[in-house]
Amino acid sequence: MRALVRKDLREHTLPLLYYMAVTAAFPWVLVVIDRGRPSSALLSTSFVMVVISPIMITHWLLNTEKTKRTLFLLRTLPVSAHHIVGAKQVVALIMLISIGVTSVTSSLTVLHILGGLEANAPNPVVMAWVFIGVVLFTQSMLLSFLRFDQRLAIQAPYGGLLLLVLAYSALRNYRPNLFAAFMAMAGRWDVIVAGYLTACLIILCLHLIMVRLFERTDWSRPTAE
Amino acid sequence: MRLDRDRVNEQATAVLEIQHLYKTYPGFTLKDVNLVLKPGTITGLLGRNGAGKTTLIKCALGLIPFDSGSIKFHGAELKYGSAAWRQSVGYVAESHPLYDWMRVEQFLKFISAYYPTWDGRYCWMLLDRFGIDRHKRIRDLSHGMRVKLALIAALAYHPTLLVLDEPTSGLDPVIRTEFLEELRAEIMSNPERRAVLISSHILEDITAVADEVALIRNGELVIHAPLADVVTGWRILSFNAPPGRDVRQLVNRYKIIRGRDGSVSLLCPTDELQFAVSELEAVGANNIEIRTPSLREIFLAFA
Repeated sequence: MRALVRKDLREHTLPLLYYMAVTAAFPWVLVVIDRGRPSSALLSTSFVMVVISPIMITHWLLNTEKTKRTLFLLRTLPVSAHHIVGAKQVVALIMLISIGVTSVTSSLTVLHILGGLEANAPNPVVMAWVFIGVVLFTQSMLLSFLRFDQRLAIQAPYGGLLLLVLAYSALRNYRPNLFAAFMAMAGRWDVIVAGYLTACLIILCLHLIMVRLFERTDWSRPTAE
Repeated sequence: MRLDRDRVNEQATAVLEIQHLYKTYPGFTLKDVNLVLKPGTITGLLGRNGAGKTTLIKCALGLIPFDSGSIKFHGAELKYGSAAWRQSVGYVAESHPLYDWMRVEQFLKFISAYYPTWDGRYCWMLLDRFGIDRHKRIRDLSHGMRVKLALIAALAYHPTLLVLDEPTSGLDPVIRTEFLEELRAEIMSNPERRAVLISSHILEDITAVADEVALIRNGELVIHAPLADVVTGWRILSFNAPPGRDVRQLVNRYKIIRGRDGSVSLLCPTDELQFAVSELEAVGANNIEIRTPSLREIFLAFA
């Protein structure tokens, strides 16, 4: 599995570094566009983290291998599907953390320089939930790219994300009392720990589904690009 | 050497044993395939496009699930999903998928991590023999070089089963000859445990290297026998049909492989030769000639 992780990291080093550089520059660009208002930096971080990174990462890790049929090469190696899928999940997590750390550091630096760090300091509770949310979103994106061709794979998890945003908005606007109770509960650390454990279980389930899918699919056949 | 290998074949367990294998795709079924690869043998897998050769190979290697049947590797039944046994299997796929961004050396190093029996010295020796620059990027290699690299990656750990799916298609005659010579040398180096399954449309290649032939037609294995038996088991009868007689009615129990301008050739089992000749003479056929068929003629008759 180490060889697989190393291979993926080496293969995508250059695009990852380039993407991290763009991510780091992004808050600065937005602050300039938004005439120095500090909140722009954090907005850009969220935007980059949630919207773009999972697509980029899964496209690199799976779509390229699917279209070049190198997933079939991996399939022929004496290594179990658990290892192959696990390696992809680990690399996706490493990439996500690298991009996330770059993005957040850059945003905080912008806030610090502009003098709005105290007023706009990120809430650790929100950060904790956003992190695990993005991890889950990336992992489901991996499953989506493994199962569907690129055109559908990109859209499928966003459907789920849209439903989540709708549910959040509906709760906030139409059930404010319930929303307040929900938010208070979400701020408790025991609930956060329970949330992380649940997320780990979901990731394990996604792993098992991906393993089954990987084992049952003929990767030598051409897939839609 | 052939005698030694025959003795080995009789004593040793089959390298790969496929029993009653079924696999259904929409519009295609692999039906009750039974195939035994004995140690020390090279088996040529023949069949037309879409006959099921690649499907059979993928099922045998556990790369796609099959509906029913069993596969044994050195006597042990394989469980679908297990991958460790592939440490002893070399596979060159038809599409030769390789990591184009890697250099040759880098690719071989990556592959070697999965095979405890990887023989680095043998690998570099093969690279030199095939004239592949180890520092070159794979995307810069020609088709022939890619095939050779795939073969090196499949040979360098001395697998006991080597499966080659259309390995020589698109190669020029010089490279094909080198490739087949290496294949022959590899199996000769350890005939007690090693077997090769090679699928090809190039019948000359199969004739040059194979000890046994398996012919698959519409998902069914119609012939599996030693190459020599396949060729000697049949005879071609050429004759001039009597005018006004329908050749098909005359010899409807045999396969007509050619029939033009009154001259007809048909494929007849060797043990029915006398009967066929007397039947032909009885209906007035003349200029009857008997000869041994080539593998191509047998392929054309059965595929």
